[in-house]
Amino acid sequence: MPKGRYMGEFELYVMAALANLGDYAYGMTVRREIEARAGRHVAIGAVYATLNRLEEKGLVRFTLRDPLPVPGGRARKHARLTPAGHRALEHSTRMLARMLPIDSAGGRR
Amino acid sequence: MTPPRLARWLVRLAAGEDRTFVLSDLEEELARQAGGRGDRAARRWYWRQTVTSLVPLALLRVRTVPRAARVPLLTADDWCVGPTFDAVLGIVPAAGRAFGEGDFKPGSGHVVMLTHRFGQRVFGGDPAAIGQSLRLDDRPFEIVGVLPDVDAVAQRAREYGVSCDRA
Repeated sequence: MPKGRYMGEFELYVMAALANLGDYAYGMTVRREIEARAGRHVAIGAVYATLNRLEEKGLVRFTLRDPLPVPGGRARKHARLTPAGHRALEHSTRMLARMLPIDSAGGRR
Repeated sequence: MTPPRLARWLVRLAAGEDRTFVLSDLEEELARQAGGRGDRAARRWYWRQTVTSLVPLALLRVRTVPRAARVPLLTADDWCVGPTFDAVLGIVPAAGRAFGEGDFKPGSGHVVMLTHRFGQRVFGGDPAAIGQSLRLDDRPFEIVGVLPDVDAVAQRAREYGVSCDRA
């Protein structure tokens, strides 16, 4: 990965959430996924800011969906990892795993 | 359940181009929270989201304004063409189909062809974009095709002049 393309912790969380959610990934489901898995408060504004930054990097693409034809149906901006996004997520998690001090039993030294 | 008006106004002010989606997401979750934890807790949750979201949303808005200024917002009028658009310019779509006579009949749905660059930027070049809906001027347009990746398309369009029928 070229210098300057490394991802921050929250960017990794968002990308992992996108990978987990697949077709159901949009702002609020990404927020819920991170809160449920990481157990931390997540602001919807931070999710949108991060998604836009990842889109600028070419790691995420958006699809606009019309509101569902039901009362209260809402427009949504769905997000998906691009092929480059999948590669970047896989690369970052692999590098992170290699950097962690793991003993042969799988625990931390 | 309706969100707190002041909180909603603050989010709307800060969120910029994404305001529709942010507000929509918040209202969806507000209803969910109200069903599970009650209205009072849901309102508290909405306020907490508002307060913690203002800074990132405002920063995002500031960061994206120059980009938006460089690339004018796409409107349907910019892209109106006649049924012979592709034939006159000798364009073969890179994906999907070109416009057909049926697209210009009264009552037919709005359709759009993406430029190669737009398709790459927004859809990552995924051919699954064909058939999806894109909102222009607050109206849904079905994506029917993607233009090839050649500057000549734009050059030819400028040379011939692409007519726009707004009827």
